[in-house]
Amino acid sequence: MRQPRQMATGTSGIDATTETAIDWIIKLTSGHTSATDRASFDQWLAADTRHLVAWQEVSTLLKQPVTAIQQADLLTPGQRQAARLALTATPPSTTRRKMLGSSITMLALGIGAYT
Amino acid sequence: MSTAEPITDQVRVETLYREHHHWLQAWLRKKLGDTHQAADLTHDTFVRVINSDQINQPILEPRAFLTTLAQRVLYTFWRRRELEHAWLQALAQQPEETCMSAEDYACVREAIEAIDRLLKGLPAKVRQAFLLRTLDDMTHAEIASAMNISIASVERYMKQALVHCYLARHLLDPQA
Repeated sequence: MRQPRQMATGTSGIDATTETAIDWIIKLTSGHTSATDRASFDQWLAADTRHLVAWQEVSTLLKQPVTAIQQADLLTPGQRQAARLALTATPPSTTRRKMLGSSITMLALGIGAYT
Repeated sequence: MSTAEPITDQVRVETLYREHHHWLQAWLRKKLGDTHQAADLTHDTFVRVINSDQINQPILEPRAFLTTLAQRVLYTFWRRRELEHAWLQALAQQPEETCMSAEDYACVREAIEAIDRLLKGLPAKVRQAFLLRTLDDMTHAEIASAMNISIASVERYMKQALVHCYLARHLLDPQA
């Protein structure tokens, strides 16, 4: 059975099945998936229940928060982009005290006060 | 799990609280410059004390123990503020005015925090590539073009991010 190309990234700490599931999700969400890829994946998934378990776990890692943001984006377009900017603009290492001012920004924007 | 243990744990928590909570609150007030927030975070720290796996044994250095937990509470607090601030700034720059219910507001804010917890420690480029894929549904070719990197790099970043998230998930929530 053909499997997606394994990418060597020093993936210690995860088992081989999980790693294969991760390689599949990368392949299938790349935007460049062939019918052959899809068929190979179906075959892999059906071959062993452990494959299915690993797949379910890997494919739902961020599902809940991502779905929440995408649904918000349907109601108020721009939420996805804003969330991505928030998550990339400020790496955690730069957490600073000045952010205490953010409650003032909230008031200024008139966005539903939530505390 | 033994049934006799919780009583001992409870006594330890009570002792810690009685002897050190004023000190801890003063320590947090110095960090925060705000009495109310210091009181809130003192409370959060003691919640962590109760859930700590070290509370079932004698605490030899109580203030060092409390400081370690309080620093984590502080980190979460600052990081939450920082993410919220960046998120609101990004929304403010949208062409259309954003109008959200308090419920939706809380839901998105929590979703951003949840993603941030899983991505914590990943390099900026990896985060960016992964979020373009996950949140914006961009293809690898689109990401490669947007970030001016090769498709092979995009694939490598995806792998790094997913392995990281998987491990983070298991560290944060071992029962998952």
